[in-house]
Amino acid sequence: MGFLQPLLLPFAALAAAPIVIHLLTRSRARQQLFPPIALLLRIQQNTARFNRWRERALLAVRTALVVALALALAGPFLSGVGAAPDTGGNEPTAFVIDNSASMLARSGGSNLLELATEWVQARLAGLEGRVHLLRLGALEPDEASLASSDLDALSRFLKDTRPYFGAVRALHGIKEALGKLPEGGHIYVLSDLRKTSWESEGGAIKLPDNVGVDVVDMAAVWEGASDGVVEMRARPTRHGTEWDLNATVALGPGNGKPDAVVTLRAGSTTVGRIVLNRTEGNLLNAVAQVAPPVQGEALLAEARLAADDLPHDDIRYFAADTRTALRVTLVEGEFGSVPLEGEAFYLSKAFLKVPRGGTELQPAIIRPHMLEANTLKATDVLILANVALASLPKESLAGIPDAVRRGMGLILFMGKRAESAEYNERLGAILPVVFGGEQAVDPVPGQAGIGLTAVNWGHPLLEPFAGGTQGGPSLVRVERYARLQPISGRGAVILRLGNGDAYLVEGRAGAGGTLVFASTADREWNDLPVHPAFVALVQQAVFYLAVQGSPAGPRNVLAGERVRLAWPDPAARRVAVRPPEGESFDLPVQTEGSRAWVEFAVPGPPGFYRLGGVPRDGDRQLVVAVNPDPRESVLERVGEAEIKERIVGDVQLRTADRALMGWTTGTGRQDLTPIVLLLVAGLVAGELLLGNPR
Amino acid sequence: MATVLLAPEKLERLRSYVLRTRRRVTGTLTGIHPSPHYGASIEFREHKTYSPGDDLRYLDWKLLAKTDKHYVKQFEKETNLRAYFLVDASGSMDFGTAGATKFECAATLASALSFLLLNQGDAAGVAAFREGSRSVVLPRARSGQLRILHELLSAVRPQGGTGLLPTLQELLPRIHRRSLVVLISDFLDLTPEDLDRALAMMRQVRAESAVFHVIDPVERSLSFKGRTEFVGPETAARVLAYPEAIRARYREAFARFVADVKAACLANGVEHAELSTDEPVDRFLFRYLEQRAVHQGVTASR
Repeated sequence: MGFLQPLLLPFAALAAAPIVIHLLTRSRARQQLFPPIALLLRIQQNTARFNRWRERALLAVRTALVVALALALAGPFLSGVGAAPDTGGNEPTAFVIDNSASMLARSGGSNLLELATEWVQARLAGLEGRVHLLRLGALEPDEASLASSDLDALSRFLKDTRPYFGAVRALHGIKEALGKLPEGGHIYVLSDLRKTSWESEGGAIKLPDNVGVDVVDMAAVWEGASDGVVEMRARPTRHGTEWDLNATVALGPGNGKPDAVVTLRAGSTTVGRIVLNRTEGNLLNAVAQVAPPVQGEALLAEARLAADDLPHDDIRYFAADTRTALRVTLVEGEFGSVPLEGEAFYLSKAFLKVPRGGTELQPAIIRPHMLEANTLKATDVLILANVALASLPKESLAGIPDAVRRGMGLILFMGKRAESAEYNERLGAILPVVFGGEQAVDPVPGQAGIGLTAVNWGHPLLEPFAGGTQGGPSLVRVERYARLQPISGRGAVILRLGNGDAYLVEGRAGAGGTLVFASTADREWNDLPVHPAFVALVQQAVFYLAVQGSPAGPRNVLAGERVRLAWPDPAARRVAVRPPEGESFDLPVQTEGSRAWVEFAVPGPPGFYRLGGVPRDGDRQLVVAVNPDPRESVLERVGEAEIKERIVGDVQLRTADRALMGWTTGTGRQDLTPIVLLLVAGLVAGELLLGNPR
Repeated sequence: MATVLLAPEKLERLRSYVLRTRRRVTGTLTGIHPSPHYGASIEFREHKTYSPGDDLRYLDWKLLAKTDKHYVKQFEKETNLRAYFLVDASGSMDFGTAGATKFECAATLASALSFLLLNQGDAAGVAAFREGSRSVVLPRARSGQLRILHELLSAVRPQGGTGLLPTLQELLPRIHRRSLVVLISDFLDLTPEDLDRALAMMRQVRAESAVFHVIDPVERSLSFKGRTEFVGPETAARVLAYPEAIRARYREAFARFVADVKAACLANGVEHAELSTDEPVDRFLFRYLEQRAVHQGVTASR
């Protein structure tokens, strides 16, 4: 026997109340002078015994009534009644449980995942032979499934089923279950049928004739409503002196609540609490600016919506390393030709005036042959300005892609020494563009070159230019450039030339990022260096890349995502990880030469994971923010027709409502509430009868 | 204690009523009640064969002419009445839920009837009795008798048992035969046998007897609610009960008790009337006098 709302069960303790009242008032009968007492005595002699029993019965009825009311409120049900599915108790059976984060949607006192595991548990007792239990969300194969005929082991597996906050694939789970039933059988899939977890995986699954699939729609019992989905971004502004925390909320119906409250926190401080008027479907932003507590320490921020019936998308975490200094290595390809006109001259000016309190820029200007492999390890952002790649040491050139993937930022300025073919060949693996050779701008009478325009002035890189209203890059004139062809899916154009060609393209490669300028960092091909926008744009570019690519790897990951985090101490064997809740665990430190790293992946729960345990003086600690996969927040559901398109054969879609009450054989969970209510009605009638004797 | 006298306007109205006995009574003065003796009133009673010495003024000459026999006419004698009001002053009478206690109603009734009788020239006396104690004022027709009766009734505090039989045993020998004996009580601590004996004793003195059975409405209905411990006023008896549970049986038992009292009265030739404490005494009294007059075939008022 179980209860849908077990939290109401303690109200049964109120059953003590009638007993206490009975004991307290037993000796407190009202006294009444009554002359014809002789008549009463005669009658009472006949009824005294009956009255004694009546009082006891009344006490019992009242006590039982309180208990029955508490039981009725708690929603009693009997599970395991004739627990065998209708396919028979000895048929091979597999249960596929969707343990994705969206199954945490609360329905009454339980969430959908708990209801699903209870449902399976109720049916295990009636099954014979090996039963296969599969979880859709799991990091390791041994966590994903269990085949056993031991009821205790199966029960433990069910009990240990934790929510998985990464993305899950239902069809993959069904394929796995099919593989475990080579001789046929029945598969039960318990899922909330969200579209993103039922995406087609290239062709339909064709069920053998001897396999039936029952898909149980768990979301049918969910009567709650999502308050909204919150997403969060954060980025440094003003050279690291401030950070913008930006929460984006897609508001849901919210159970009729008039507004949604977003709380932004940095560390342990609430930095913003914004009330958003609810208009369903609207995307609203909540922004707060904070100063990082101490330069060099991690910035931990979170955006939180008031918890609703779907809790997993109400909070997002963000972690970033703040840097006391950024090491910028500037390689000038045309070094020394005209000292006051070269790229190094202009770029070095760009690093001089960094606002006080911000992150210090430590530029190192070198010639191409001076770029050593070790230099790359100590560099946060590498700038190659008009560099012929052949002039770089081979070992260093080969190390650039790896360094970028580990988190180094790379900025390329083109020029006559930078040969497109070489760049395509040597750095093509990490670049977001394909270079198409040098291109001169068609001369326009009365104009020197063509201007620039932003694809999106809201891009973080263009933040210093206030949405394009303060001139900035739009005043730059370009006379010559290298043609950039952005690679689909890898490159995003930030600035375009007036003729539509790309001027500035960004891309990601592993943990690092790249920015490619189509023209030069001196005045040879354009006049960018002599515009006020140049200093701001270069500084912003350096910060932008440095924040994206921490030397230790990404700080913001999704649950289930496996990332490599550089670990500064190669001598360490293991790294302790302190999760936001639960017990700490260890990760092995892997080494290769002088490099050390740990591979990090967790199924959840979301929050800040601290690698390195509790930091002491001098100890290094990395903090990684783990968030649920955003696909878990898409509540659009897959329909029966789509399910039958993707699974061909004996497929039945059941609603959880019927499933929970025993839809296949009229067994499973039997709702006892009507019976208890009948009992309550009977007890009330008994109370009225005994309490008001006529 | 509340007054046991009716309001002056009620008493004034009472002056217009008369109370005649149904049976012949012997009084010392001329009055309005029939006497067993023959008298000189104008109301013819019977003929009697003439005997020497009879007053020839009453010889029926017309009958002598028709029958040639000598008869003399005899006439009724009307005399006054001695009335004894025996008022129960036991503890059970000190109970009332409708404003007045049963004793107050009984005393008021006795007082009012005394007023009526004294007003029509009869003698009235009162005995307030309880177990081991009696306060008695013998019947007199003198002026000031009403005040004495009133003082006695006002001074009595009902308590203890009833003690009806000892009271009757003591008082009845002192009661003149052919008088009026009125017993006002709730009869609650009497066994049926004791009640029978008491009524038989009243019958033996050949007096006209009347019983007023005083009842409080709650005694009739047991209209209490909830768990109640009932306490007897005359004994230490206690009963813990839910009135709702025993109400029907109690009402039945009480009705049987009232019926038994009434039956015993009728069996002993005693007039019976129920006086309820929720009915004003004056209204009861006027109703009673009118009904009694109807039964006697006379008018209740002068």
